[in-house]
Amino acid sequence: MKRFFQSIRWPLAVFVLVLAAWQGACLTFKIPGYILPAPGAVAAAVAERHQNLLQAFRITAVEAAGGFLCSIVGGISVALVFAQSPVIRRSLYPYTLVLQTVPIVAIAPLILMWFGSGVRSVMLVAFIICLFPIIANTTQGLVSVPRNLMDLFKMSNASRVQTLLRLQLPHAVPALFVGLRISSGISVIGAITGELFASSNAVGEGGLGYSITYANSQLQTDYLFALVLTASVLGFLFFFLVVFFEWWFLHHWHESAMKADAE
Amino acid sequence: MNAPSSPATLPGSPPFIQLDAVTKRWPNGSVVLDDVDLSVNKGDFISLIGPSGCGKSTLLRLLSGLSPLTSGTITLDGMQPDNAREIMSFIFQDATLLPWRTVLGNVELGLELEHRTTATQRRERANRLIDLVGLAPVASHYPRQLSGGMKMRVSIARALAIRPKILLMDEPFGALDEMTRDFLNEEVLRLRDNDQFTTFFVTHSVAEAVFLSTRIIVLQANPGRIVRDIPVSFPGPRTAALRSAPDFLAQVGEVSAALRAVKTRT
Repeated sequence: MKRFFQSIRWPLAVFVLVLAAWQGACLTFKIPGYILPAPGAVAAAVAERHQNLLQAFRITAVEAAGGFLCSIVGGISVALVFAQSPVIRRSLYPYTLVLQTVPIVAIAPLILMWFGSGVRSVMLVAFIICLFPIIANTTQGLVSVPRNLMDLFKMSNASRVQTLLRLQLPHAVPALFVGLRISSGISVIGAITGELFASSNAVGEGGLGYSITYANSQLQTDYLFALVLTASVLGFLFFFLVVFFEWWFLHHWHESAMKADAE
Repeated sequence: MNAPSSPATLPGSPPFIQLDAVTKRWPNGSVVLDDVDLSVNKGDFISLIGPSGCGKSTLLRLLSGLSPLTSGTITLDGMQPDNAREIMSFIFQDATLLPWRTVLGNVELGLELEHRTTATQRRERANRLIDLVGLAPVASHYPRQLSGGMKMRVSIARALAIRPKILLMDEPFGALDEMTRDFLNEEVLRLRDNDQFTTFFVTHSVAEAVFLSTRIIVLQANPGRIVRDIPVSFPGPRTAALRSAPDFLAQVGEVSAALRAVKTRT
């Protein structure tokens, strides 16, 4: 516990300093609350509307988690197909790249138009944005097994399935987690982006993205800050969940986990 | 001290391992091995030694069937290399352990992929081999917790677990310090007393080759050819003390001279 406090004391000091400067600036320059609310005002908004925040948090968490989990299943499946042959990889990889390069804000309205303005559509937006990092990293892990290990399995007359399940897949787990770390954070971005457009269809029920547009239109800037804060808490939560599972799976054998042990 | 030990071969029967006019060319046309003939008796310990680029590692890959021949034939106990994998084990230059498996799990791997043993048999045989290489206290450790020498011993135990008739070793001790290497050399001899496998051993160390082998094949480079075939035998048992015996030193001298002659020629 003491070590934990020691490790966070510098970031904590920066945090306190920035808050103090912010609060000081708001008071000194008499900045209106609808342009930049003071930290105190944001804290008051959090306290006052914690039930709305919690509700919005819960809705967005479900949407982001749904999209994220589907992207894990989908991404690993696609990577397993990609690992089968360089021809498959070369023919299809450029198209998965589209997932990464097309701006999600441009296709989110289309998705909501096509699939309706419900939770499922928002999940789909989160799913699309999460998919590419998982596909790319898992594929890389599956195909980058050292040659000697492949030869070892060949010498044992291992079947393709055996090689995939006992060599390539476990070898790809660290790379998979790199993808999961990236996707965990952006799943929340995906869900919120989806909600922004869902709300315009007048159905969007209370998620963080919906509430952000609402707070913005009402100039409730202190509440808007509280929502943004809640959204980043959600992103952090997902990220640390992934880091925990990564530690859980890898700490026995993986080098990166060993370094964390040594610290 | 002349003919290599040949009790296992009856007159007239084909040798255990036979290479006829084996040639390997890379796709760019350069010749790695040129017209190599070699007969090996059962139980022989053959060291392949020569300058880099002489194709000694390539020869192991051809024997294992990991790499195809350009021309010529290889017969291993009556089989083509591709079909002989069940009686062969390959020990690589690095230990090639699966980092997510414990020592025990790694030693079990070969048996597991073969599907010819039950889980209990596997565990039993793996444990016996782990005992044999002196790793019983670390059987449940993961590779990252082991030293280089220990990892290599796991690799040896894994190779021997399937009871191979032929063992192919590609400079397995090259990356280890001299003390560990000497110790593992003695261990290999001890394991060989237990289980009479036929061995091809690639090395750069003349002393190691003399200590372990019944025959030393000296190769030249560009193109790879066999230039000397030196039988090695000692009257007494091979123990650590052999390393300072005059017989041993004389043999090392002979092989070194042969190797030097090759190097100056190419």
